[in-house]
Parts: sequence; C-alpha cells; structure tokens
Amino acid sequence: MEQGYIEKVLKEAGIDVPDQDVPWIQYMVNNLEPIMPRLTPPYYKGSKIDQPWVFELLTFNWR
Amino acid sequence: MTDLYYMTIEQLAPLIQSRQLSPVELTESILERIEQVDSIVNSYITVTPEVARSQARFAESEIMQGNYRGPLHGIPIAPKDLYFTKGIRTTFGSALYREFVPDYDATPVEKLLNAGIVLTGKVNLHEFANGETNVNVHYGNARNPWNSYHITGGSSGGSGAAVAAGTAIASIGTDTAGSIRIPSAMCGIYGLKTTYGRVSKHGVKGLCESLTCPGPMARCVTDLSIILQYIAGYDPKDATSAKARVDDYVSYLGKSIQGLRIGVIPEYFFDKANTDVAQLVKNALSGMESLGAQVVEVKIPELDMAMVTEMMTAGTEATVEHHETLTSDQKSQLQDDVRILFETGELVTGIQYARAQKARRLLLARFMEVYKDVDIIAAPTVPIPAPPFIENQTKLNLEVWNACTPFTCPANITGLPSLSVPVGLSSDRLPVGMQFFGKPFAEGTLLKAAYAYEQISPFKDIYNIEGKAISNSMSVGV
Repeated sequence: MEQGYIEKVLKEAGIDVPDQDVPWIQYMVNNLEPIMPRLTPPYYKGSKIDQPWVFELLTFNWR
Repeated sequence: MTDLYYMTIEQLAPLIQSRQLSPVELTESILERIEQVDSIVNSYITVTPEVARSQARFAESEIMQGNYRGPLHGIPIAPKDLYFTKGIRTTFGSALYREFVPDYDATPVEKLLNAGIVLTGKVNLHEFANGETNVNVHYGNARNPWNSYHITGGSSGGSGAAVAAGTAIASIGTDTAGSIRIPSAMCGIYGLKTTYGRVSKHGVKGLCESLTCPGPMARCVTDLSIILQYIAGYDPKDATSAKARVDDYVSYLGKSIQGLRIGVIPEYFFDKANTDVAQLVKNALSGMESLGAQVVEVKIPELDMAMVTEMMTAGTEATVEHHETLTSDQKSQLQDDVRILFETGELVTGIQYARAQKARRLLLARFMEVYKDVDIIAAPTVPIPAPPFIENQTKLNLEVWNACTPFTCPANITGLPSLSVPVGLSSDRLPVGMQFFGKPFAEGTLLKAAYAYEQISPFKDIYNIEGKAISNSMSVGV
C-alpha cells in the first residue's frame, strides 16, 4: 500500500498521520495482504453462505 | 509452608472459613509483597492499600460473626485496569484517563465484591488493551516475573505478572485476540477466555464490542472455576450478555477424562510453533492420553481465514471506539504502537469488515462440525515463550501480534471458550502454555480437562517449589 494512498485515506477521515507511522502501517498491511484473498472463496463456495444465519451485518452473539 | 502470597484460593478459603487465617493478615502479606517486588514487575497501575485494609477488616468482622460468604471472602484480587471500579481511578492504561474515577462498578467487579473479595488495586495492561506485549509508556512496562528482561505478554500483562509474582491471589482480565491467554502462557499461570456473552461486559472498556470477553486468571484450575462461578451469568445491562444456564463449574473438577476426545490440528498450530513449545505441548497431550483421553487429528482449513478476519474485525471495531481521539489533539497522547494499530484499522473497508463477519460464521460452523467428533481441541497457546524487551516498542508489539494472534484469535472470532494451562519451562526457563478450545458455554468441560492435566503437570505446585527462584529472577530489566 502506497504512502500517498495511506495519507490520503487517513486525511479524508480527518487524521494527520505522522510520517514515522507510515512504514509501520505498511508493515501491518503488507503482512495481511497475502492472506486477504482468504476472506473470499474458496471457503465460501459450496458453503452455507447463502443461508439466513450467515448474515454479515448481524452483530456477533448467540441470540 | 508456602508463603501466603503464593497460596491459592483453594488453599486459603478453608483457612479463612475456619478462622485459622485472617483476611487482614493475608491482605498485609499481599501489600508487603507489592512493596517488595512491584517496583520491578510493575504489575499494578494503582495500589489501593486503604481500600484493601478496610475491606479486609470488614471481611474479618463478618467471618468472626459467623457470616462467611463463600470461598472468595477475604481473598485479595486485582482486576485489570479497564474494569470500572466505583471511587477508584480506572485508567485503561492510557494517559488520557489518568484521573478518571468511575461512579459505578463493572458487573464482574460488583459480583466479586458481593462475594467478599479484597480489592488490592488495579493492574497494568497494554494501553486500551490494544497490544500483546504490555509495554506501556504511561505507567511503565509490566515485566515477566520469571525473567524481568522479558515481556509478560498482553494485553492483560499486569494480571499475568501479579498472579505469577504473588502480588495478587488472582485477577480478572479481558481477551479480544488472546489478551488473557497470551500473558497466562508467558507468565506460567492459568487463564480462561469465556464464551462470548458468558460474563457481562457492563462497565468493562473492552477493545472490541463483538470480540472482547472477560475471564479469570489464577494459579490453579480450581481458582479459575471458583471465580467463574461468581462472575458468570446473564446481565440485562449488557446487550450481548447470554441467557445460557450457568453450570456448577467446581463440580467438573476431578471427573475422569477417560474417553475424552481431544482434537489437534498439527499443520496450523504445531508446525508453526517454536521447537520447545511444540514438544512441551506434545508431552502434555501424551500425559492426558495416559489418563485415558484420546488425541485425534482434525482439520479446519478455514483457520487460514482467522488472522485476517480478526484484523478486519478488531481493527474496525477498536478504531470506531477511538476515532475521535485519532482526529483530535489527544492523538499525541497515545503510545506509538497503539496509535499505529488504530490508524491501520481506519484503512479497513466496509466490504472487508462485512466479509470478515461472514468468515466468522463459517469458521464457527466448521468448529461445530469438528465438535461432533471431538470434545475439545488442544494447541500451543502461543508459538513462542516470552520474548525479551527491545528498544523499538512498535516493532516488538507488531511482531508479537503477528506471531501470537493466529494461535489465539480463533476463539475470539468464533466466540468459543478457550483455557490456557502452563505445561512447563522452555530451555530458557520461560513458561509455555497449552490451550483448549471448547464448545459454546462448555467451560465446565475445559475446566475438567485442565484440572485432570494439572494433577500430572510439571507446573503443579510450581509456585511452592519455585517461588524463591522466581523472586530471585526479578531483577531490573530494560
């Protein structure tokens, strides 16, 4: 993730990100990027994803 | 005889009930221990000697009048400093709340006070519980009693340090990504992350609304059971509190584990663990097999989604809570690694968050499938023993986060209970932990398994045997 993009997105959110923070944000994002596709299929394919109980906006609880 | 400060609730309660030991004497022992070693381990943010002495005297008078409340009566316990305590400052480990004094008690604290505990103070944590080292620039780092040059793990590091150093008999922490189990493993104590909704979060400033669970931390399984018995249960003041029946947890202790089926997932947990850690956990499982348990390999391929699911969920929810701080001058008062994690959370998109919630449901569904074949799942709590402090706190926290979170977060994103037990010492003489994952609200089964293992564990009575050695290891670190 580019430094300019990080600064732009955070600026739009009202946050002035200190220069020293950017490499660490990139470190965290870079660690996640290779596994980010895991949030999409194959696990969703053929799963019960379309059933009503898999409703992504439901706050997680047992009720 | 064991020093009073290293005795367990299980040992102390009968002495207090039978009036052989006064809560006042016990409290003085803890306060003296704090005086002796807390300048090194830094387990407390706030010590409350006057409150403690007053509560101890009151407990003593009640017991002398024949009004014994139960096994927690007169026992010194110190909650993590993000539980609201009426009239006692509650900092959340942050400079922003240095003077904050709540006007009510968090529900778990209220329940413990009703049980008669003595509140010796509030223990250290990673700022806003947003980190796994318990490096804290505002109130000082919690240090590992086994080697004070090493971290305690976090975020409930003060709880881990206090229980291992004998500056409290027990504590209650919170767990959003491993914050009870990581310091429990690294400090050589027992910790239980409860099922989501099992213990009320009313008055508990957790890191993330849909992940954080309170739970006990102690020096034996019986003590976990006793504390859980008091803090578990539905609370109408907490919208996420569950109405599930509360078990008689102590009744599970001592039951046979003959035929208990323990699932293991070698490729996800054991293959990625440090050699010492993996071997000690395998030894522990062999011990459980000798007691009649069956260890079987199971597969949960969806665990590949766990880390990113945790990060998308925790990043978003924690940042929602702290967005106003990030967009104001107050941001400069956050410690570096905490600010960076909040800023990273701002970058999560709505699509990613929504998909992460689906992933949680899928992972839970897979766990429930596996639980048709096994009763519990065992794994190293974390893949490494406590690392040493290094100068760059941000690097340390992010490295520990990336190493440990994949091991602990499956319980958080699914809401399942998980209990960490100490299983031995690494070649560097640092504690190693094993965790059990259980079915929803099946804390009793976890306690049964942990208790059975505890009876054959090399860590049984370790604080009686190693107490002096631990005291000697407390030297001033970085």
